[in-house]
Amino acid sequence: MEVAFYESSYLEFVQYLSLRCGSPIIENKFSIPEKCGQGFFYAENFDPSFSCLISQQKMNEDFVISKSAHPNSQYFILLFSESLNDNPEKQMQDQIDPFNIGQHLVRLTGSAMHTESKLPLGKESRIVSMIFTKPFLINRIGSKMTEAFLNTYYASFLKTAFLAPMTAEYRIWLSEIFQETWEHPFRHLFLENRLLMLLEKFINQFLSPSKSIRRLSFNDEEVTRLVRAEAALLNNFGTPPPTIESLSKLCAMSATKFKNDFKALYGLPVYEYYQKNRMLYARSLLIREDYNIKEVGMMCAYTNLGHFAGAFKKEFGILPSEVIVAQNNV
Amino acid sequence: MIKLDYSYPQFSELFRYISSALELKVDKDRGVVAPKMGEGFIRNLYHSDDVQIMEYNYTPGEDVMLHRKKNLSSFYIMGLEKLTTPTNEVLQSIFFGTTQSEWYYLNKAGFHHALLHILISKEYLERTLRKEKGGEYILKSLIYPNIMYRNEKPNAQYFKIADEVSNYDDSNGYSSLFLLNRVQYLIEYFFTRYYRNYSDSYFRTSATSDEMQRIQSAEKLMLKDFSETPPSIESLSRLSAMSPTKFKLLFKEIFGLPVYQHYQKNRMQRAKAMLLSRKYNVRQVATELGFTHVKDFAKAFQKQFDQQPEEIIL
Repeated sequence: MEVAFYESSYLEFVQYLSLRCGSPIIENKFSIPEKCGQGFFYAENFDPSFSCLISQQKMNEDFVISKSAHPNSQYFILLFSESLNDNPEKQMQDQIDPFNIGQHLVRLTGSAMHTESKLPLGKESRIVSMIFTKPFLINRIGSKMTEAFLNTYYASFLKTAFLAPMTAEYRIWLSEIFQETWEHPFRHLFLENRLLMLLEKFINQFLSPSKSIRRLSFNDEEVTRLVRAEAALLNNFGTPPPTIESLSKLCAMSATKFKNDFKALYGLPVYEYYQKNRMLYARSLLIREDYNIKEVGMMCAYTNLGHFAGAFKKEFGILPSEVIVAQNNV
Repeated sequence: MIKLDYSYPQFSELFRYISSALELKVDKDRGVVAPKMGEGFIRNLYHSDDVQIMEYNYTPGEDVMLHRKKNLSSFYIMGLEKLTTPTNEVLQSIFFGTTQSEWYYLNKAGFHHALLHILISKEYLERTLRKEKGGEYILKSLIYPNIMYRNEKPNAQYFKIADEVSNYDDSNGYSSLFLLNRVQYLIEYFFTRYYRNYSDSYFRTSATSDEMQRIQSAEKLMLKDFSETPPSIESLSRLSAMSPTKFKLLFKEIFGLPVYQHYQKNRMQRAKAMLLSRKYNVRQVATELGFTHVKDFAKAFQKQFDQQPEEIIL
């Protein structure tokens, strides 16, 4: 199935989808009918210059969303995609394809290029995507930074997409969006804040790509494998992490090369990166107030709560109990 | 003591006034406190029609009394405050109020003050909240903003964000996105916690806003000090200017539990928090919360949490 997308507003896109599939929209949310797959598409237009699409889906057939080039209008599309239940070994042969959704990627494209987003059959993935215009940027980051943003973009990415790896900071905001948005009493504010946090982190990264995170290149097959190894590493915090041997095997590299390349791409050594993500995950669980410390420790594969507390303190400077005490203090 | 009286709703004016009164050495939006007056700085970080930010990061050399007089403009102020005493004890607090009421606020000499004050326009709040499911409830609650922060305890998340704002340095240029993101997040976080804690009772109760306020202040009084016998229902209902029967009924509607069960629940949560802080042993907690026998305490604790107090400390 293929749908074309003309507007710079995601709400209209979702309305169009619902018409095509014959399934109604309720509060900007459209559930994918069973004959097409599972999941939903949700859109929100904050103002004419800022719009977002959030979806989680598993389709019964390949699904392609295409958008033709609009040389006359000027907007940007920032897309975060994550694959759920990824089976890294099965995918090892694939190249990174900027348009294949269901990889752990951040992608920036613009109105001037033709883009496609492929949702492959049977693969469960989720997307947070936002469209923003130049006036929006000027309003939010000022004209000087907008200038820098546009220069960087037009200098190299006018015809291609900018790709970056999904990292820990993005993941936390993304998982909050998927867990809480629809039940949240201040849904718009909640969602807008998280989208803007994602955008802020991204702009930071985009304007200083040389630092620690290097740009992904499409045909760099090794980078593709590293992205998958990263996904395997963070797949489940409830069990001990995979060994360096198994990860490097997954990447078909030597352990030494794997360790060096991983650090070059994600900025931290493998297990430090793992640990940081694990602690961010623990913290997000504690803040939600649904679990006590013991449960969170167990969910993060700690058998000794003292070790958990120590590791937490090392990362954030406070004990897990201090997060909880402060919150439940009456 | 230095006394500052003002009623400026705009932080830019307030900043100019404080700068001259405290003889700050001003460079753009940042004023450094003169050595004879103490040390540190005050910043007027951000200014727009919707929100304005002031940051105080200073240790006054002598007491400074801030007196904000009533002003008819429509602004709300949210404050996150972290005080460090000369003995290095850290005190954190949060407040939420309006420029329409009068305040006194003492900045004590020798205490380090790290204060983040956010001025929010009424127009912005209304525009933002009107779209939201929980918005109506907050807009109603804003009539008595004091109730909103009274039960809110500062937590690590607030101060993590506040620190990000204070550590912010505008050399990389995208100030508005960075600051606005954090301010909007703090507002959202505060309202969400308030909404989740109280909205249920609000929609269940037949109490008028005024009765609710009276009952909430009675509740606060009751939970103030656990070391003594709690006040009687008679005295609490007299305080709330209603009959004991009505008081008991409305209390249960608002807080979801009968008066003394609510008291006991809060007492035990306080116990748990004290134990978790690891600053007290079980005996100290029991004494502090008015139990004469540790055994009684352990039993009450077991009843509430299905756990012995010692297990918390393990």
